[in-house]
Amino acid sequence: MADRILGIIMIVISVLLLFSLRGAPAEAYAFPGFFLILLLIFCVILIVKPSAQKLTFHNVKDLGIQTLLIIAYIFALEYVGFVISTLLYLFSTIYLSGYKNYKKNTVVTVLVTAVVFFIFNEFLEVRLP
Amino acid sequence: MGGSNTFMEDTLSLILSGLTNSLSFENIIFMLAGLALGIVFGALPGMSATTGMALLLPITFGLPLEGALLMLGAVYAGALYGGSISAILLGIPGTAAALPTTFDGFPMAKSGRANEALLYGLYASSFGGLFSALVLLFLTPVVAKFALEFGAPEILALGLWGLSTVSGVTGNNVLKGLIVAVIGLVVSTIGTSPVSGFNRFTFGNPYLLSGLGLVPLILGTMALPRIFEIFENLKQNQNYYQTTTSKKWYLKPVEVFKYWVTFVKSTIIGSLIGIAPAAGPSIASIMSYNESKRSSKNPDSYGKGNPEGVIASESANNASTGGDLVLTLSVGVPGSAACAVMLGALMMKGIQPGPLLLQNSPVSAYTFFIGFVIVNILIFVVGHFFVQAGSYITRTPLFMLAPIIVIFCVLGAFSEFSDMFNVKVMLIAGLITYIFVKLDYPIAPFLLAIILGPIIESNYWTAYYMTGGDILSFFQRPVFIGIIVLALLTFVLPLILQRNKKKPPKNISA
Repeated sequence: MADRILGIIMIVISVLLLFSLRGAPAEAYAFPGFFLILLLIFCVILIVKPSAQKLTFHNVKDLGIQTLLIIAYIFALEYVGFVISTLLYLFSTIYLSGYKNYKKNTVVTVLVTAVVFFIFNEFLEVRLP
Repeated sequence: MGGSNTFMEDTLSLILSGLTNSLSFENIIFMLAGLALGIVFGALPGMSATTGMALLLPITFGLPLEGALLMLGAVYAGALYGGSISAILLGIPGTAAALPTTFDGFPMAKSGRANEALLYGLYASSFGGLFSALVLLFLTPVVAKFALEFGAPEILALGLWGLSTVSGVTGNNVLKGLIVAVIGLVVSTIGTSPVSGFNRFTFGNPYLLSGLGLVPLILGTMALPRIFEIFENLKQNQNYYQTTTSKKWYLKPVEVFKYWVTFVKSTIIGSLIGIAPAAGPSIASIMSYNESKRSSKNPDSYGKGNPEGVIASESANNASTGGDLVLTLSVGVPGSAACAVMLGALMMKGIQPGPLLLQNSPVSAYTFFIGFVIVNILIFVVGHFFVQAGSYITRTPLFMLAPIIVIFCVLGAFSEFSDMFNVKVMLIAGLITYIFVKLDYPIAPFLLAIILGPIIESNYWTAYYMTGGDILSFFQRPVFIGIIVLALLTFVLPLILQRNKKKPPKNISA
């Protein structure tokens, strides 16, 4: 059933995309149009004969928290910069994964952040967020 | 008679001077530095050989020509080896070319055979690299002539062939594999169209003009889902990796020779693909893996931890380096993005690659050729130490390893353009992919399609206009037909094999 839902979602998106190609010269829409139509055909087959696969999560809570943390980290990077964001992120992830020893936690967090910072910033001269 | 004697003498003396030049103390330092950096870059997910070489380019300004080339060459070869390290240990290919290495290397690492897998990856990379260096050395003059026969239709055919390998990596459900592949093809068309410059699927977003970047997509589809998987299963206390019991330092000759057929065949495939223009290590490793699986006596063991999978992938991707360089140096057509950086270095020094390169600066050219041989030998030696270092990674507790990998991925996606857009692309790709993975969809076809889609489309149009729209004329080109036939075979065979498995063997009496 999950397959069917996925198939329907993909069909809707494909139709919308095909629509966005209106007015394009032949060269531009030939390939993507062909691929989208192929996708439509495959999705129809998928809907008619879905596999029995169900969407199961073993542990939604942990996964959800970590995912939110990652999203938070990415947004923090833009506003607060690399060092602070990374420190916060590392500390919170390790803490939330169950390793509650504050001292060790902090040491690792600071160490990793420092190492990464130095490698990328000084040695490779890559700009950090 | 007299003429060919002189040629031999000339070549030999060039080889000798190349040898003495490349063994100078200075050059060896450059090679070692390049190779260490290359291996590290290759191993870091998100940093590819090309990124590493591009970062080093400004540094090579100040170096003598030979030193600069040797350093870049070392980075290239080193990175292709390094990609296998993270592919095996983390299931995340450090470079796109190491993608097939994850198929078997990662299961091996999970079942406690990490060192063994790493060693096979090293030996395969070195063997392939060494062979390709010899190809570079001896065939550059010869190959330049042949390579010019490869026109747009042939490259189109190569792209199609690469795509046909989809059927071999779909696992059980072919339909799902095809769906994922087609999604990849659609995604690969995002951006400005090759001929008319029409903006497809960009919705006014300037970031999308050149399409979705390969780096964030690889990270998003390969790295993030693994991370999510780790987080999800954290509390279950499953040991992700079984501890490596053996402290293997090197492979015994017996263990190597057991698979000599795979070593040799994959290296040859890699070299041939490397020589083809615009076909680089990523395609080489995919094709080689597929061929190895197809011709194996038990193809089912592939994808579960068969060392031959690792060997096939790694020897091919390193074997293609020499071929790529041949074209880059002798014709000026880069065989891969990384080679384009080499071209840049050459031009910065005022050297024009092409047939004149060998005429005007033969000593430099041969110094590089010989140096490249030495680089691959050095990788073999140095690599053993990296293998040992690798086992420390598997001993890091997961809840620390996972966030650290996240940080590296974010940095990797960010660093290409110093912009957060790619990071967001990576994140969204990761979330979507994870759902697909949970629903038993294979991911590899997506990446194949992303890499091959643009090649197929742009070469199709080039060929179309080249022949004035006469598509049928493609079929009059022998190389084109040959490759297309191979493509059809490659697509159909795995399907037939699967069907034969499902049907029980017929009773003769019935």
